Amino acid sequence: MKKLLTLLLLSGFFISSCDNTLEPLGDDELYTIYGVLNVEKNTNFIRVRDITAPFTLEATENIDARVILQNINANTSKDLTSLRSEYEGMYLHNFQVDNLLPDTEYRLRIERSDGRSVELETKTPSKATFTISPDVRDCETPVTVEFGNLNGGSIGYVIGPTVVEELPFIGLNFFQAFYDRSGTLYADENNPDAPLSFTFTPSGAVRDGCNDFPENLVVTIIHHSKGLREAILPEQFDIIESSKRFGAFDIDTLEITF
Amino acid sequence: MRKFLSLYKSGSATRLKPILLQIIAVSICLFAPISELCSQDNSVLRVIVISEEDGSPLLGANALLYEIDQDLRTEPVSYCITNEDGLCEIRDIISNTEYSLKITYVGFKTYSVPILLESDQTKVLRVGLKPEIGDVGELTVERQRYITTGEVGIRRISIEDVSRIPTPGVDGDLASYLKTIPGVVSSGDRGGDLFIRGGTPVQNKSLVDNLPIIKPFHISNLFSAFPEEIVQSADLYAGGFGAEYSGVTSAILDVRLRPGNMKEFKSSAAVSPYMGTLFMEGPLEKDKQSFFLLARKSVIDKYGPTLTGEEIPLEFSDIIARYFIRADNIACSITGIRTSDSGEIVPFRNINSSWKNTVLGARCLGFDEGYNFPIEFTAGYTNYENKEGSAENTERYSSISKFHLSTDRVEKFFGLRFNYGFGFTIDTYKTTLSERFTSVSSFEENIPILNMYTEAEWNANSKLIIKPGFVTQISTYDSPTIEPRIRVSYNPDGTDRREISLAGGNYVQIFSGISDERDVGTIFTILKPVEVGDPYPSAIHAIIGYKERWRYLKMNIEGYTKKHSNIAVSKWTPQARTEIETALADGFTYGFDIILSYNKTPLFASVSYGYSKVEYEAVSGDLGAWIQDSIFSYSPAQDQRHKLNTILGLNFFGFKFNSSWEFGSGKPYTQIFGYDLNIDGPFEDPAVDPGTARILFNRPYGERLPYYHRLDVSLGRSIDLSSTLTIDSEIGAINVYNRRNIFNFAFSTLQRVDQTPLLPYLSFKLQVN
Repeated sequence: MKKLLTLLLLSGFFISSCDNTLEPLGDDELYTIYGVLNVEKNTNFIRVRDITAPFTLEATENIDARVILQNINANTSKDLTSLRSEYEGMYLHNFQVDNLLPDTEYRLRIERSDGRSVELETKTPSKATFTISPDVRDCETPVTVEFGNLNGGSIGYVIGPTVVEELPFIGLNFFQAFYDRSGTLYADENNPDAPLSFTFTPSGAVRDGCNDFPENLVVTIIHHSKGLREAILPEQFDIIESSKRFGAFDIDTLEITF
Repeated sequence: MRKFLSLYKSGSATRLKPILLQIIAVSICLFAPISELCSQDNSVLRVIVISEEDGSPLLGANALLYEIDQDLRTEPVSYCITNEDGLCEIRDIISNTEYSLKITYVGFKTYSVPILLESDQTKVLRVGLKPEIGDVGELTVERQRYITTGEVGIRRISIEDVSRIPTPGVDGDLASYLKTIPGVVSSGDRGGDLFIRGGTPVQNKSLVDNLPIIKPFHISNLFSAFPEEIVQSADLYAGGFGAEYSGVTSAILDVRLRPGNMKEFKSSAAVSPYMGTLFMEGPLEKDKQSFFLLARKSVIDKYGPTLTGEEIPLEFSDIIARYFIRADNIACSITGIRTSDSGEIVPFRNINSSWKNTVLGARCLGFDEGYNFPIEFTAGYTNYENKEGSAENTERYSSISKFHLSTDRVEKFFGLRFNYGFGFTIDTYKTTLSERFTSVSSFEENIPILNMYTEAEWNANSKLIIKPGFVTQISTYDSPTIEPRIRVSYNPDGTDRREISLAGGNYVQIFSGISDERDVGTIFTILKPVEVGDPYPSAIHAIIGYKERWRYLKMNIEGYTKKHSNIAVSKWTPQARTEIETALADGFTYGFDIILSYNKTPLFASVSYGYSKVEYEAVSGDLGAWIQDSIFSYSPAQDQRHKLNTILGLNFFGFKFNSSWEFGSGKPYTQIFGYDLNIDGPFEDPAVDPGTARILFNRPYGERLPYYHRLDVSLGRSIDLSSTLTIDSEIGAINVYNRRNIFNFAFSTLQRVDQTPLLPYLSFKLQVN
């Protein structure tokens, strides 16, 4: 009896010495990055979050991150500063970007104090060029709009009688559900510099067709830098891609007269 | 359900029929309506064995029929073993022949009486056994017959078994015992969920006095609605259960409560750091009617911090009452149970989980001499509700109510026994959701279900018994289920000392349970009927077992597989705390158990080992598109591969020493990839929008928790203070060597959450006789 108890206790202590630690958190990734920048704004913000920090004040009070924005074309770099704000029991770290230039290659580098780092690159969109054909237009004749100078980026567009101010803030999916004439054009992977075009029938872009047709139609466009539009598509399971976004966009309008 | 059907075993007087005729009889009577054509009449001795001490029925008593001058050391002419009602039958007795009937039961004096039956007579004999004073004779043990036929997959649990497991109270509890059984995996020391041979809690069914109780285990996992004081017996059907049970795809826990004392009033009050208990019982009419009433309330949330240095934010209570009446030809009971549990599964989360069970019902067993076989009726109401939310606000609520009627009967055709029964249930499901489960809207549905079963018992020869069965469940939602079952037992030497048995069948349930598997901090489960047109969750079981009994030693080896289909599992979407979507998975479980036990007063020792592997498989697109494989296989939370248990009980100098040591390999958990506040740019601006909180999960259940092991001990003694006052005391400790066994981690804060640390206790129980 005594021996049996001793044996049990010894077994217990022996097994106690086995590894009893837990690694609830993986260490494959460092940061989540949300830098979707508007080239027309003087000031943009990039949200950088330590991916290992739980949603608590203590864990998010400081972020172990040096955020550097490098202008590859000019070969200049700048350490971005964080504007810390508090939200529901945690701190948010937004890094300020001033005077973003169009048609420029940027590299975002985020370094952790242990030497590990993350790098993302983008080329900001330039003003897209466009041509409209035919030159003489009426409400029943299909119109083709062709975009150039896209740097491999994509074009989202909405056609209507007025400018759609909220385009970038609601999303193309919303308009695609309610407008006949909206869509997204993606660059050809094999020929990224090739122009992109779409064709529409003007009467389909307004509510009353050719009755009381307006003198002008407005095409509101959003020009995303290469790969950005694809990254922000609602694909919630693609964790890695959906939590690292760095790119820029440009909003423009195009007036088509009749 | 039907213990008097399943436990009933008659001895060697069974008449053998030509095998072909019996096969035809099985075929006809299994599927055809019951007909008088099939019936056959014989002389029958129906024995009811009760204890003279308190009037309670004795389970497992032997009724042995000898020829009048037969040597008692030889095999009896026939015998039967009593069930939970103390009832058994010896059939096919040759009429107008005098026999000697002996009733034996360990710890009681043997009872003998001459028996002479007339042609086709059915005689009911009630026998009261008097307790044996002093040492129990070895002869009684030698003569003891055991219920073994077709035992594969079944664990018959006695009160002695339950009492040997240290629990922080004077009395044991079925919940603590169940966790020592190989193949039974708990979620840890809280949550009230048990997984049985790969089956999830919603795939298991608990019955108390034939009435379903949805979640009888308390939030602490150490206790249930079945304390030692009131349980007469319990059977755990870990798989391969017979046709008398239906409605779930994994396992059955069938608990019988004992009647209150039929002779005298008794009451007791017990206190321990874990809870307080009040109990009273007694006759309402001596030897005919009795009651008991038990009420318990946990106090561990108050005293836990003092004893362990940690908060234990768990509360539970229960009230259990039973009324019992026994007449000459019928025994009825009315059972009422109310349980209540609440607490934080993972502290610091501010998520309060709670559930309540309500059970009220009656069961009657008629054994009149005019009946060819005993008849059983059950009627009752069961309600279960579970809620979750912050302390101030219930965010999720789901409940199920059942009105239940059933009857179980036996008939004999062409020399074969047929158990059969009908049940009618109206299930009412109610769910109200306000946050997480946005893909499942609030609903209320009523589902009437008719279930029928039949099971034949074919004694192919003196060594081989085959029990084919069939179950169907018919609801208004879909086509009837088809559930064939079979149990086979073979006694190589024709005795009950060794047995090879097989069991298997198809099992279907017409409801499912949805919980958020991503979050270990939640135990909230939506119970809902399967949608019209969706496939029913089902399982195919196959078990093979070998059992051998020596004088004091028993060995049981079982191998098993369960193949589950259409299990509702969580999608591993990253938006924690906002919604849950489900996908269908298939599951495959296999494993084996070995149990070795030694029992010779005053020592009991047992060692059990279980190996089990559980694997789920789902289409990745359904489960989570970020998983690269087209079909994703994973081990769910209950996949504990190795489990070793040792139990030791020793009585010495009036003391009772018990210990239980459990060792388990680590269960799977899901590592977190990271924490994210998703900014949906360019539509959201980091300067003004906080973003959407996401917890990014790594590969589901891709990691394993550390090994688990724990030693619990207790030392108890009972002291008579006077002729009417007795005090029971017990000192003990849970987790004696203070192992830091992990429960899981709070994934919102990454804080490790451990199970119960060293918990010393001292308990007292004052009994008034």
